[in-house]
This record gives sequence, structure tokens and C-alpha cells, in this order.
Amino acid sequence: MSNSKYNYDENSETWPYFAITLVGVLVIPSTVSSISSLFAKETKNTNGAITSTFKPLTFQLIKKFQSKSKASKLFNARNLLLVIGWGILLYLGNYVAHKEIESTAVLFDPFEILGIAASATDKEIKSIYRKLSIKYHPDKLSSSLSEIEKQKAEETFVLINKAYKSLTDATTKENFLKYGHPDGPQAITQGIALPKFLIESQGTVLVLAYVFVIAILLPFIVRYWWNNVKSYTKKGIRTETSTMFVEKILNYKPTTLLTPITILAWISESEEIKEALPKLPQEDIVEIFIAHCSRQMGFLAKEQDKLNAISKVPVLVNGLLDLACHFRNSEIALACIETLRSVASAVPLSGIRKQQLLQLPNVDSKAVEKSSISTLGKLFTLSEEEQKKALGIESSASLKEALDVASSIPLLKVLKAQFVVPGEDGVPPGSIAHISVKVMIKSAKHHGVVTFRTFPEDKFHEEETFETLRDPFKMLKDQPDLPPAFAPYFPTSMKTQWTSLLAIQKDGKLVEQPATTTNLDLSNLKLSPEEFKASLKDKGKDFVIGTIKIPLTQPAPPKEGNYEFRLMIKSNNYFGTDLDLPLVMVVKNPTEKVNEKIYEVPAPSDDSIAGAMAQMRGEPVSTSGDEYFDSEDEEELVEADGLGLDDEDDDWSDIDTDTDDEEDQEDPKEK
Amino acid sequence: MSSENFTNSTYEDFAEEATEKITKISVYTPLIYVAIILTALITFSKIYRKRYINKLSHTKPFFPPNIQKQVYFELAAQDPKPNDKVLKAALFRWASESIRRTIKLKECEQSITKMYQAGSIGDELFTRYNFAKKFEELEIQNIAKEVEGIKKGWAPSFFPLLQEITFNEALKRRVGAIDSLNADQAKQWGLTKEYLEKLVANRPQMKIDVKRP
Repeated sequence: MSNSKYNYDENSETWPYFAITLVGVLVIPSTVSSISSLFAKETKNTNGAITSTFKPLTFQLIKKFQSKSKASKLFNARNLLLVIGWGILLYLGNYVAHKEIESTAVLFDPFEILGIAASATDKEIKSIYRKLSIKYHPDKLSSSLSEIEKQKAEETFVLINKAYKSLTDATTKENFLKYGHPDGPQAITQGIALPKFLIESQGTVLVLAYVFVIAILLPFIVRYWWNNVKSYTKKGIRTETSTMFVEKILNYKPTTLLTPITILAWISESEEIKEALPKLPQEDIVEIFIAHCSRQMGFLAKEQDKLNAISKVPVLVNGLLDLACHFRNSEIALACIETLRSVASAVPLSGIRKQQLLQLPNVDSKAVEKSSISTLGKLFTLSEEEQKKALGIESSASLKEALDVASSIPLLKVLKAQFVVPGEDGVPPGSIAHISVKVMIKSAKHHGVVTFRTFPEDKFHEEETFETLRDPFKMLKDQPDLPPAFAPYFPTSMKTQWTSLLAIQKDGKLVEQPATTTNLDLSNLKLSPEEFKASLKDKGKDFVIGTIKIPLTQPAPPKEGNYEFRLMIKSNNYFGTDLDLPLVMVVKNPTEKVNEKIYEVPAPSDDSIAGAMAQMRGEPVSTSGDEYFDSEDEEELVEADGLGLDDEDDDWSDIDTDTDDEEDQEDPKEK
Repeated sequence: MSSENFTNSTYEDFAEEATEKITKISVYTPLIYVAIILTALITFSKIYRKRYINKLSHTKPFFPPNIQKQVYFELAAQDPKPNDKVLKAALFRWASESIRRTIKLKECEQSITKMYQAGSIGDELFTRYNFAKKFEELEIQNIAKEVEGIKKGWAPSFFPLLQEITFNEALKRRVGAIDSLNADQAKQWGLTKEYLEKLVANRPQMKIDVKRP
């Protein structure tokens, strides 16, 4: 056999395997990812999720919309391709399974024919041969056998003879033992795993296919993919939309009031919404959004189209939020989050002071506007009749639905907030810090003030191990995932999330991109008011403290000093659970602990008069100033360590959304 | 032994094939080949550039049209030339608008670059931004020329003055908007007169904490 020619896969022995591998590599991983994306939602954690029997007027429509979008998830082009791929795979598998039997080449193996091991001695071979030849010798066969059986026996006899001869010859036997072949070593044959006709029919078919794939199909696919990549930004909005948003932000005049309606107007100009609601003027689209937020329905467009448009709002708002943060514009960023939750829980955009109550199911917006209360905490201090009146609800069942939701909305209270540099005591200049916020999650029905002092000191202590030094954010993942949010009016399921924005106090500009919190333990919500009280008295025994960490991408300032920030942690879903707190970053070179320090006069503590004087003179006072403690009343303020902050506290009291003074009022019935 | 034979035979095979396959090619063949490739490349680059320039000329401007500029040129083109002061005032208006835009572009330069790097905006916007930046630079040069045309040696004192005008305008806009902004805020928060009066009437009395040291 000449080496200049290759063997072709005429019998289709190898190429089906090649094809199976190729198709399998494409089909199997994409099937896995498809299936996992289909079932991703069902396996979510629902611990602490608000389960309500409440069904909004649009319930049927929303159900229809959801089943439709689920169907489109199942029946799309990608899945069709997958099915075709599996078809090919099955066909090839079947083909290979059947082909195998036909193509098994019979190899001559004398050891197997004689039924002995390769290590058998000449004597053994001889004796076995004798036995077998007696059994199969044509003259000694019994006459009762049929023709076919006789023929088979004769063939076996010939084989036995052949095998015996080859094994008794010294060189042949050696060749067998060494190379597995009577003629000694065999030339290695190389072949092409393709049938001959593909290559030898003047090569035209293969060449044409090759040219088609390389010169036409590949560039086309790359172009298609790249255009797709280019037409969407990293945040999942169209590039045209992001361009439009940038123009809006650039031309936004700070002399006009920015409200969620402005944000909705911007969004309604986006390509995505225009596609969902074609042929509608922009004003009408805004009207649709406003109507959704007012829990009204039934005009201007088909309900399904409207729901489709509304379901697109969060992605668009998040895209806008990202851009606003790049422009460091806190007004737009805050309005974005406000819009997001107004749309999520269908809360009217006009009733700004009553949003906490308006987000509940079954409420009558007119009655809520009229009533004197505006917070969830206050709602739980009222008697049932007063609650009905305040919310405009008539039946007790409806009231229960509303109160169930109200008590399951997780409210956040800050216990401690500070800048942390892993492995350091303070914040050295130029270091990469992160913000660690310890929060208490409580329900509106829980009365009583939980502060830093409620807990024993060591509850806040985070052990610094090698792991935490390497990745300080890993511990966030140990907290359970937040459950889906309660948003009965929103067409798709929504995650519970908090967005953190960090601004500089001096000019109110944002410093970081928004950070989202997706893991928090909501088990405090399950405590009954009595359990809560008991736990409060018992050093917060049953309370779970939540941790929110916000990474900073920029290093701390290179110079020592106090840098003031404003941290806003805003819920994307609910009203009344926001945190807004001042934070001071004390940048200080780490002091080396030497013995001399003992003789130093300690700097006056700043809750003393000397401290206040020193502070006025600009001298150092001993504060752990980069920490913020939640301080509920005057007394605690004096006690708390984070006193460098009193001033800021006052400054920001007008924007503080804390509602504690109302909640702290003892339930009159209890007394 | 057998392997030696084997190699010999293949060598002979190759030698035979090589002598068989020699075909004569014309001298022009490589020349034609090169010519075809070159023309293809040149046509491609020409078409590409034409399209690129065409696309650039159709890019949407970053800012709305500069009306002040149009006003200035219309005034300058009028036949009985308007009063010098009118012309100068118009020039100041045009220039201050241009300066405002330059400042705005400079302000957002960092944000735009960051957004582009983070993939939050598309290529198109980034090119448009760079285009706008170049355009405003040229505009300032144009203005400088225009200024020199009106009065020689005026440019050095023109630009500081211009900056003050621009800042003053911005300040005026902000101050002027305070009242309307106030009204909008009150409306947004539902702060009607009745509500405020009610609030004042229901104001809780200040508690004086005796325990406080």
C-alpha cells in the first residue's frame, strides 16, 4: 500500500462520530442553559416573600401576559434549532449503533480460536488442539447435524488448524505476541474521516462548502452577532435609547423640577417603548404610565400592549440610573428609583406624602389623601375602625389583606455604618475601602426602638480571617437571597432589591455607581409583636442583624482629613424602607503603637466642653468619627460614640425619611 | 529491508509526479493577479471612506441649532449695516452660547469616556461627542476671527468679558427659576395653603426634657 494515498471513510465508520461530537458540543451546553433559564425562577428562595390573596382588577390580564411571555420563552427560534440539533444527534446515534454490527472486521486471533491464554506453553497448545480437532473433525461429526451446522463445524476446523499452525511456528508466534499480527509490525495507516465522494469528485463539493462557510457564512454570523452586541449597551438597553438618555441628561436644566413624571416622559421616548406601543404619541404613553400608577385601566391602547410596555420600564429606568450615576447627578438618580417603585407597586405619582399607605392593596387613594396619617408605623397604632377609615377600606377581609402586606414590608433601621478597610483599623490614605452597614430589619407592626445599644457589643464584631481579607463581600452571599417582591400590579415578577447611592455632602454629587443589595435575611419579619418586645428586652436575642456592604471603586483621598458623604439606601420596590444617613470617612495614617504614647495627654473627648472647644479650634478630638450610629433620641445622641456627626444629623433631618417618632408612640390600647 | 524498499519506491513516485505536473504560466499571470488585488483594495477603501464621510456629515448634532449665531450672521448680512453696537451684542450672544456649550462638553468629558469604557453608550454617541468637541473648538476660532474683523486687537479682552457674561447669564437663569421651582415643589408635595395652616395649627408643643444634663 502506498503512503501517498489516504484511506477514505467509505464505510462511514468514523465520520458519524465526528459529526456527533460536533453537534453535541453545540447542542448539549445550549440545552442545559435553556433548561436552567426556564426553571430559574421556580427554584428561587421565597423565605420572607409576601404571600397575599389580593388580586388586582387587572389580575386576569396579567396572568394572560405572563403565560404568553412564558410561551414565547418556550417556542422561539433558539429552541427550534435545539430540537433540530437533537434530531440530528439522535439520527446519528441510531446510525452509529446499527452500523457498528456490520462493520466489525473479523480479525484472526489464534489464541482466541483455541481458547487459551497468550502465555500457554507448547504442550498446552498441543493438547487443546487435539481435543478441539477431535471435536470438530469432519469425519467425526455426528450424522444427526444439519447441513448448515456441518458446514460451520468444518469452517471451525479449518480455523483451528490454521491457528495451531501459526502457533507452532516460532517466528509467527513471536510476531503474534509482540505485534498482534503474524507478519510482524504493521504500517500505520492514516485516513480521512470523510467519505470519498466529498473529496475525490474533483473536490468541487467540499471546496464550495468550504468557501461558503469561510467566506460567506462566517462573516455573516460575526457581523450579525457584532451588530447585536453593538445595538445593546451593557445594561441591556438599546444604544439609541442610551444616546437619547444622555442627551436628556445633558440638556436637563437644573432650574426645572425633576419628578418621576419627567423620567417617565423620557422613557416613553425610547425605542423599546415605541416598539411596544406603536403609533401612540408620547403624551399618551405617559398617560398610560400615570394611569398604571393610579391603578386605573381601560383606555388608549390594548391592555396586553400596555402591560408589555410597563414590563419594560425597570430595565429602562435602570439604564437611565446607570447613566445618571456616570454623570454624578443625584437628582436624576433619586427620581429614577422613585419612578421604579412607583411603577412596581402602582403608587400614584402625585401623592408623595402618602406613598407608604398608597402602596398597600385595596386602599382608596382619596381616603388616604384625606387622612392625617402617612406612615405604616403609625397605621399599626390605630384601632381597626380608624385603620379602615384611614385606608378607605370597608370590609374586614380587605383590611386584613392590606395589613398583612403592610406588616411584611421590610423596614430597615441602621445600627452601625462605617468605612472599612480590610486588615486595617481605620482608613489609611489611598486605601480601597468599602462601606459596611449593619441594619435591623423590622416590620411596621413591631413597636420599640432597636439601636446599636440593644445588642451586646460582640454581635457587631466581624472576625477577620484570611477569607474575609481576600474577599470582604463574600459574607453577603451567606445571607439568604431576597425573595420576589410583592408587586401585584406589575406584569412580571420582580426582585426585592435595595439600591445604594453614595454622594458627597459638599456638592451632592454621586461618587460611585449604584450598588444593589440582593441578599438579606428577612426572618425578623416573622416575629410577632410580643416576641419582638421580649427579644428587645433580652439584648436582641432573636434578632438577625443584616449586613449591607457597598464597594468603593475609588481609593480613599491621599490626604488625611475628614470627608463627608451621604449614603442613600433606597428600596426598588417599597416605600418607607429607605435609609439616608451621613457618613464621615476619617482618613488617617495608621498610628504605630509605641510605648511613648502612654505619656501623651489624651485628646479631649468631644462630648465634653473641652472637646467642643477643641473642635471649634480645629484640633483633633477623639471620635470614632467614621462610624454612624442610629440615634433615636437626644439621650442616646449624647451617649453614642459617633458624635462628630451631630451637626450633620441636624442638617439632614429634613431629608431623613425616618418615621420613628410616630412609630415609637406606644400603642394606646396597650396601656 | 522492506522499509528501505518502501522509502525508495515513494521517492520514485514523487519524482515521477513532479516531472508530470509542470505547467507553463504566462509572465502576465502574477501581474494580473497583483492588479486585481490592488484594484479591489483601492475600490474598497474608496467606497468605505466615502461612506464614512457621508455618515459623519449626517450625524445628528449634539446641541440644538445655535440661534444666536444665525441672528448674528443675518444682522451682518443686512444691507444698510445695523449699528455697530447691535452687531457687537449679537456677537456676544453667539459667543456666550458657544462658550456655554464648550464648558458643558468639558464638564461631561470624563463621564462620557467612562460610560464608553463601561459599555453604557454606543460608538455613535462617542463619535458624535468628539465631533461636537472639535466643532466647538473651531467655532471659538471662528469667533476670534470675527472679533478681530470688527476691531483689531480686541480678542484678548473679549474672551474674559465673554466668560463673565456667560456666568452671569447662568446665575440669572438659576435665580430667575427659584420662584417657579418653589411653586412646582409645593405642588409636587401637595403643600397647599390650607395644608400649611393646618400643619402650623397642629404643631406639637416642644417638650422640654428635664432629665437632660
